[in-house]
Amino acid sequence: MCLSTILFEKKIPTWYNSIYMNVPREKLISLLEHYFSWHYGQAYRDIYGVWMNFVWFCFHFFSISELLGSLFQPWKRMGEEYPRVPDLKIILQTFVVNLLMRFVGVMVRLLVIGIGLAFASLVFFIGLIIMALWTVMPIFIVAIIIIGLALILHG
Amino acid sequence: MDKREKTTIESLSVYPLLVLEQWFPHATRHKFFRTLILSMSFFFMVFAALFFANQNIPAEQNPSTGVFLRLISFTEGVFLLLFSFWTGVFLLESFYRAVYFHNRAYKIRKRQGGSDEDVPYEMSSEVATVFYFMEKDDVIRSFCNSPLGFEILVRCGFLSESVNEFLETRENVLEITLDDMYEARVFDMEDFALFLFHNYPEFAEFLFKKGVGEKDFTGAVRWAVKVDEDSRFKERWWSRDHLKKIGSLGKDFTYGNTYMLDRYAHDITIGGAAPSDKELHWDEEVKRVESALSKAKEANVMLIGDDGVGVLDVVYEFAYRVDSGDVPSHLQNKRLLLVDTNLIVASAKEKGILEERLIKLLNEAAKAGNIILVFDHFTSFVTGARSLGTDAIDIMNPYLSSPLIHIIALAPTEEYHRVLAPNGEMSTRFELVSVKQPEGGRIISLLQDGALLLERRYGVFFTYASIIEILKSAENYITDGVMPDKATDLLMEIAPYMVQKKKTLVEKNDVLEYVRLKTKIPVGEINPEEKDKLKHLEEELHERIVGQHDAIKAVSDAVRRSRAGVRDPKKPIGSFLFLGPTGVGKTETAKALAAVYFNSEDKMARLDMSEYQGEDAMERLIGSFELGKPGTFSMLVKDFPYGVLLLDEFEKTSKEVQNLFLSVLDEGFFSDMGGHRVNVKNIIFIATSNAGSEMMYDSIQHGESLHSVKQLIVDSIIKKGILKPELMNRFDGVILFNPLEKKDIIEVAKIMCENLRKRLKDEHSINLVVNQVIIDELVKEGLDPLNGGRPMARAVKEKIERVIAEKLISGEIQTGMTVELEQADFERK
Repeated sequence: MCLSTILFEKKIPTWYNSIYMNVPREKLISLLEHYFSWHYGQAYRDIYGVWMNFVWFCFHFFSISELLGSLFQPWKRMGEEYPRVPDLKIILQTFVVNLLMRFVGVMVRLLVIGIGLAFASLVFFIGLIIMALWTVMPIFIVAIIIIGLALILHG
Repeated sequence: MDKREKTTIESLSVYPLLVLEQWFPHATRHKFFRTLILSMSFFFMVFAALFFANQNIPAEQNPSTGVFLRLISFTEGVFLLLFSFWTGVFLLESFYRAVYFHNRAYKIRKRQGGSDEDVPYEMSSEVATVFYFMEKDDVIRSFCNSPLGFEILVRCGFLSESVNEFLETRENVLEITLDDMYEARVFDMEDFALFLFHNYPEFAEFLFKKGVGEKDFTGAVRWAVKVDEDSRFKERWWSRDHLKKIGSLGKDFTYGNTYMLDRYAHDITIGGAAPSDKELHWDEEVKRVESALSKAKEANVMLIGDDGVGVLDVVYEFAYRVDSGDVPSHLQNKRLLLVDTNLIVASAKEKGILEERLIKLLNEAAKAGNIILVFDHFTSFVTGARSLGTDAIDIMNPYLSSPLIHIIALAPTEEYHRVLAPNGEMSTRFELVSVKQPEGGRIISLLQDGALLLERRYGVFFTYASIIEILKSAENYITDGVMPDKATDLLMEIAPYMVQKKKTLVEKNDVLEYVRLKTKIPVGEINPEEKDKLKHLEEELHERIVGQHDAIKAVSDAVRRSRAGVRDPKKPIGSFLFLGPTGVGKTETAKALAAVYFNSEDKMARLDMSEYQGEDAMERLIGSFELGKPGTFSMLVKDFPYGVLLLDEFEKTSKEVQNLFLSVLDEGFFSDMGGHRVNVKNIIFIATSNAGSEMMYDSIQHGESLHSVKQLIVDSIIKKGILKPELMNRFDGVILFNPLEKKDIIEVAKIMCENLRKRLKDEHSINLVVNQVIIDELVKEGLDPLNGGRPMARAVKEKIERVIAEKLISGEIQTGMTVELEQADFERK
């Protein structure tokens, strides 16, 4: 709501905060028509859009493409520098340490990628369920109203 | 006409949205939604409690198992019913949003950088609302009553009473149809409001009566529409733009840790001052920073700008863009670390430690690989390090030239030139980006964003005119600081002031009232007392000045023009050149003006321009950059931003100084030694000079009026090279002061005696009778038409004051006595 209407207690026209005020029946019927044509038409595309946003978000949040790209990089740039004077022992030591750091990097990244993919699939399946539910939603609402009333009235 | 029949409200894509709004409006839906969630949670908890209780109590111990089970199914049933309602409302809300955002698709594209042509315009739901709820083809009434229309009118300063009054007293009704809108290509509220403004004169007139012209109306409309759209777009939390802002994991796995840097710096990329819902204000500067940081090496930026211009804001905005991934790929995943330079220098205590620490920090940043170091007040850091004997720039040099590290340094303009610029390497190592004071439009949008925050915090409401007035007042009356800082400061101060005043709507006059309170500059509505004073300014000045009608008239007119707000706001209040011999009242006029109009003689300051003749004149006036010394003139106007400034013996100053005053008088500001603009718009400049006084005498003695020879005198001053013609022309008025005649001088003597009488009475409780003997004595001693009033002032001192002093010391006069001097008193040695 606009701040001005709150601050200045405007005499708000009746239509503004009313419910079911003098709306002619044919208008309500037309509203229902519009609603159902959206529900069984455009809405699928809309839901699909939002759904894909969330799937995208999972990939984005867990930085999956970046982590794949840098999979074998050492963990947090940790590691030793190779000595300037060749010394086989130190070179080997350094090699092992650096290999270890890369291994740690790979493990952590794989873990995060794994979690990310798990979330993305979860979101994907939830989306599928919602899509399916969406189709039966109106019937579902009517059904729970009936069940609710039955429970209240007859136990 | 057939076109009219084509477009009906039912054919608009937003039609179902309008019906829904009529039947079950957005606000009510939200209320319902919240209530349903609360009641659902309640019933769910009751249900859960009963269920668990039932599980745990053995049936044989519970005599009323039947009732218990009945209760459980009852709560279960209620819960399911509420849930079905909730789902229903949810579906309607989704429908509403889907229709709304499909309708706004082109705006969304535009926000994401797409062009207008991507998606065709459609009649916006706000305009359609006006037509849908229109009664008896009265489009204006419907506009005023629509939520956004009302918001626009309040932003213009109208409350419902005045709007209702206008609606009831109109003579005509504007009849327009949707087809007219299509024909005029009006689809948005912004265009629609302006369409009404242009096509319904009564409406424009109604606005105009409150001082709202087309420009103000357009501004108010744009602001209201933007606020409305922003709040709608903020609701789109499922969009990628919004989701992106949540951030991400694992991006720093490839980059090193920064243990030491974390102690001496903080990361401004995470949550910093991210202006998440704010308009971005520094696009151009941020783009320059981006491109400078994109270089292969020496990718460093030096941001220079005055304190308060918003240099750090540029960095924050850049950080925000980095955080939201809104930057070129090579800048993504960067961390901006704002280094606490004070801490580094202060905690180091000695050279060795400081250098070691600095090197370690830089190494760490280089190794981490994704760090952009930000040094605020880089110059202070360099000088601080220098005081410990460390050349910070020298240490940083190898890093600055390497591709491993990026540095953004911030410095005030003046300090940059003094401390850093002499080091020639600076300009190669750093790309200079100077942050200029933003111009009007950008400051307005900054102020509007600030105002919205204050509105939520203080429950006040800013009109568009008040925002514009804040901008103007900060520019014109607040001399300290720079834009936009001083404007935002003023904005912040006004909100609590309004709360104190118990007023909600901030109007233009409230801003002026506050400015008046803060600066003591008379702005805003003229009160009756002031009105009276302004009307009779000449008379009041004449009480102190004898003759000189032209001068007094000119000065009074200038003051009235300024106070009425019709003067040129870019120039000083007034500027006059008073020409005339000594002692004719030039200085006295300036003093009298300060006393009468600005309420105190202290409101007059004086610069003896004959002191500024030498080569160092300019340096002494506006300060010296090399010596870092401020100048007399700059200091004076800073302490004294409002009043009369007397420039005595103006002709004696150097040509360079005269040139300085060319711009001072023309533009109302000058640049001091540090390049800072010093505002002198609230000052009346009175320059005095006795150039040309001989000519004045001659002409008076030949019986010519000064009026007739004025041009000749001015020409001769120019010809002699005393003052330049362009300088003479810059003054609002060149005013000749008549040499005083005998009768004038006697009048002056009387005024002086009267002043003396008052002083004696106030300070010593002595009642001096100013009789003819005194006047005669003064005329005898002090009448010297060549030198005007000065000898008379001397005579008052030497004759009368001397006699009274002697009498006071000898005890002849005592407190409370009435004193009448006689001829004999003056004859005593």
